[in-house]
Parts: sequence; C-alpha cells; structure tokens
Amino acid sequence: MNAIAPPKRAGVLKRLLRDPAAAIALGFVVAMVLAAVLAPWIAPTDPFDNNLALSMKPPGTPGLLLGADAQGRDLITRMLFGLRASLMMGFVATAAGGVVGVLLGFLAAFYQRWLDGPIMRLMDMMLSFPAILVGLAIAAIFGPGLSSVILALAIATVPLMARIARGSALVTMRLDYIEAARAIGMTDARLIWRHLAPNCLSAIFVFTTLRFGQVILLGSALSFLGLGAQPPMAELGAMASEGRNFLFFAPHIAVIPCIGIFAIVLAFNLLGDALRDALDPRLRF
Amino acid sequence: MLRHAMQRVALVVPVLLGVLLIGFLLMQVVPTDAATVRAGPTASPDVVEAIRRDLGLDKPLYVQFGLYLWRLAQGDLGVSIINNVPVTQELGATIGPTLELMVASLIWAIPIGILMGTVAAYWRGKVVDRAVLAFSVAGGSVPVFFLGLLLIWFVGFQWQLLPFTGRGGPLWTLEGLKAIALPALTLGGVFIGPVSRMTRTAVLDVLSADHVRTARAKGLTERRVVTAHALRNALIPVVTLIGLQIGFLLGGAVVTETVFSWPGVGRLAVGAILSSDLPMAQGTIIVLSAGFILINLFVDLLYAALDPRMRAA
Repeated sequence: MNAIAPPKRAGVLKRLLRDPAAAIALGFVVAMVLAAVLAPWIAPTDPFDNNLALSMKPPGTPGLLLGADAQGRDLITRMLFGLRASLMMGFVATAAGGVVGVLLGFLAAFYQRWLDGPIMRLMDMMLSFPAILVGLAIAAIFGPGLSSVILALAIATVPLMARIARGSALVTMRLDYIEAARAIGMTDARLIWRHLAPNCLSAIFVFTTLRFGQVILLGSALSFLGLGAQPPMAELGAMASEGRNFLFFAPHIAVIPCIGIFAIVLAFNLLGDALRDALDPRLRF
Repeated sequence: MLRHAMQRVALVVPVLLGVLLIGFLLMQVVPTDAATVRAGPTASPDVVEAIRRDLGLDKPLYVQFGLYLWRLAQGDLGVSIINNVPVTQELGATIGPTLELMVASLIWAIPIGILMGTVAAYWRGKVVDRAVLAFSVAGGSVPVFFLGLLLIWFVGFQWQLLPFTGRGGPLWTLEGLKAIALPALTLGGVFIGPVSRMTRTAVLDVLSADHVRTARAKGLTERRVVTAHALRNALIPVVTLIGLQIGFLLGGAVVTETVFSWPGVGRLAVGAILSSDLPMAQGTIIVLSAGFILINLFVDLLYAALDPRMRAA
C-alpha cells in the first residue's frame, strides 16, 4: 500500500493564498461566516427593535454606522442577522442537495450496469427544470417561506452534484488501486467510502464552493420576490425587497443588503475559481 | 439528422408529461374545492354538485388527470380564483411581453459578450483579458434586482432619462422602446458575463487549432484569421452554451419583470403564488416549463444541424 501515496493537501492553502484575490476572498468569507455565527452576541441591538424616530436615518448617523431602515431598525444588526439567515439558507440547501446528489452520482458510477441509466435519466429530467421554476412550484405548493426556498434550492442542486460526482467517480473507478481493493475482497460500501470518495473530493469541493455562491444568489432572488423569508425576518434578499419601497427616500435601505449579497457571492465565486486552480488545474466545469 | 431529431423529440414527451403531472398534482394539494369556487359564493348545493360532475371531480384521480389533459388540449387551464378571468387569457396577454423582454435583452447582450470574449481570448493574459475576466466574474455575482434598482435610481429617478414602470406600448413606438430600455439593460447586463466567459474559452480552444496555424502560415491577415477561421468555429459551442443559460435567463426575467412592473408571465406567476391563486400559478408554471423545455430542444437540434458530429451523441 505504500506505493500509493495519498494526495498531498498541505500545499493547497499555500497555493491558494499566493493569489491575492483568492486570499482576500478567503479572508472575507471567514470574516462573514464568523460574523453570521456570532450575530446574536456582537449585534449592537435586537434585529426587531424599532424606533420610528430613527426611521430612514442615513449611514453615518451617530450610533448608526449603516443607518436605519424604514421602521427605524439598526441596519448593522439587520445585516448581521440577514447574513446569518442567508448563509444558513445557502449552507443547508447546498449540503442537503449535495449529499443526496453525491450519493446518487456515486451509486450511478459504481453500479454502472444497473443504476447508471435510471439515475442519470432522472437527473436529466430534473435538469429540465431551471432552479427558478423549482422555486416557483415549491412556493406554490407549500406556500412562500424560507423553508420552501431551501427545499427548492436543494432539489435544484441534486442533479448538478450527481453529475459532478458521477463524472469524477467514473474516472477514479478505472484506476488500478480500485481493482486491487476489489481483489482483496473489500465490501462495496467500504470501497466507496474509503477509496472512491476521497479521490473525488477535490472536484466535489470546488463545485460546492461555486454552487454555494449560486445558491445564495438564487435564494436571495426568491426572497426578493416575496417567496422566501417573510418580514419581519432579516434575510438579505427580503431586506432588499423591503428597501425597494423606500428607494427614492432612503436608497441605502435597499442598496446595503444588495452590496452584501454581491460581496458574498463574488467572494465564493473567486474562491471556487482559485480552489480549482490550486487543487487541480485540469478540472473544468 | 432526422433520426437524431426524432430521438430528441421522443425524449421530450415524458418530460412534458411530467410537467403536466406536477401541474395537475399542484391542484390536488389545495384545500379549496374547485367546484365551489367556480360556482361562486351564492350558488345552491345542486349547482355545485352539477359543476362537480361537469368538471369530473367525482371521478378517480387518473380519470381526472385524463380529463385535465383533454381540457388542456382544448386550451382550458381553468379560471383565476382572484378575478375569474380564464388563465389562458391572462397567459396570452403576458407571453408576448416576456418574449419581448428576453429578445430585447439578448439582442444587445450576446453580440457584446461575444465581442468581449473574442478580444479577451486574442489578447490572452494581457490587461484586456484580465479586465474582461474580472467583469464577467463580477457580473456573475450581481443580483439581478441590484442592477435593476441601480438603473432605476440613477437613470430613471436622478437623471430622469427613461421610464421604469410597465410597458410603454408596442416596440415600434418611441414610448415602447423607452419603456423596455431599462428592463432590457438589466436582464442583458447580467447575461454578458456568462456569454463573454464562454466565448473566451471557445475561441482560445480554436486559436490553438491546426487550421488556424495554417491560416496564419498562408499569410492571411490577423483580422481574417480571427473572424473567419477562429470565431466562426468557436460560435458552435457558444450557441449551445447560450442555450444552456436559458434557465438563468428565465430566472433573471422573473426578477426583472417584478422590479420594473413589466406585465410578463414571470410577474404573473409571482403575483399568483403570493395571492394563492393556484389555477393561475399552475398555468404560468406549466407554460414557463414547457417553453423552457422546447427552447432547449430547439437549441439541441440547432447544434446538431451546425455540427454533424453531435448527432451521434
């Protein structure tokens, strides 16, 4: 077994940080995730605390760095909690859709003779529905809400993830060490988990990072349309939608959440591109 | 070619049936009784019962699905719960504006995207290339509604240059053109990034191909090499890749229509869902899905027509 050295991962972070854009993106993502996780403790006020005297105060007002929204709620607090909701939505949807998709992709590749056809035809059918239509249909069935959006985004992620996992697994399946592991009588489950999965990880990881940005973008769009998070909940897309009504009086209420979404999605896209180059330049989607 | 086309069309049939089945099941989860709604609040129980029989609501589900398909074939998608207007009538009025918006967006975004991608590929690694790449990554990260709100704020509100609510009339009138300008800029704006990125990759592939080297070796001008030999061959993958982005365009259209109060199918769908108008929501989702599937089919067939090698796949 010594002949097959595990792929070196120690150098990945170093290679990633050599690209300044990627380094900034990574730093930004880490900071945002920390801010979102710690929101209840670091936010200056409660996200639902409103003070109508402060309504629509512009950014830079003493005590209100980012200003206040139409109901006089502190926008820093709202942004922190909005970030928390948006990232949580992206994380749950990507993780749920990713796990199901990767599992289906592995099964299709591993049991190619029986499962590849049925599973991939099903994935093709799911791909016939763009994410926005899945979002509309789910919202029509279960009613608008954050959980509807998460469900829709997870469903829309499954076939994409299955394709990536299957493609990557098919390449790995042809390698000699899989044959060797089979020869010593390893069970299928152990073979998939211990030998197949680790080798497909980089492709899946890169795709997940890029997908996360897309999921946030789609989810915030659905929330903006009113199909996702419902007021008074703080979620970036829903906040932009509320702010839209006051665009001509206080543009910052809509613009600040929009900039937040833009920055997060941009950071994940840059990070995904850089990860692809650092992990395996041959990977192309 | 014909064989390939038949195979592709055969694949679309089960997907379309799936769409209709989902649309049908959508109506089954609603707690409200369609017969009561159609009869109106003042109708007697006898009338409701008659309508129920008339609509086939007393039959088993699979029979109802058959009846539903039969009514659909006759162009009957039900009646809106909110304003009692036939769903097909509303759809007929909104499909035009949606197509208008999509065409108006693509008509400027695709040429500009292709131009940007070609320029970037030709000067690979230079400042121009980096600028185009940065633009396309940033463009792919902007929420559609952000771009729309910015245009409304600056062009529409601050500078008072263009209107930003609703459709101004037919496109051959000045009002019509003015009204579609900002929505088309918004939707097209988010589309330039993907198009330029795909074009760049495709042109880069072709630029290193043997026939381009030959074209250079026989002394053709650079301009002719790029336009006649490289770009022309690169356009085939670009056509497909643009086709694959139609879903993305559709999502953008739904948001753009809402931001600019554009009277299209997307806005109709969102409004119907928000007001729990299920027949209308069902109709819009069916039409949008079917349209998307048919456009994909068209792009596939176009690709096979452009590149005979694809017919085997």
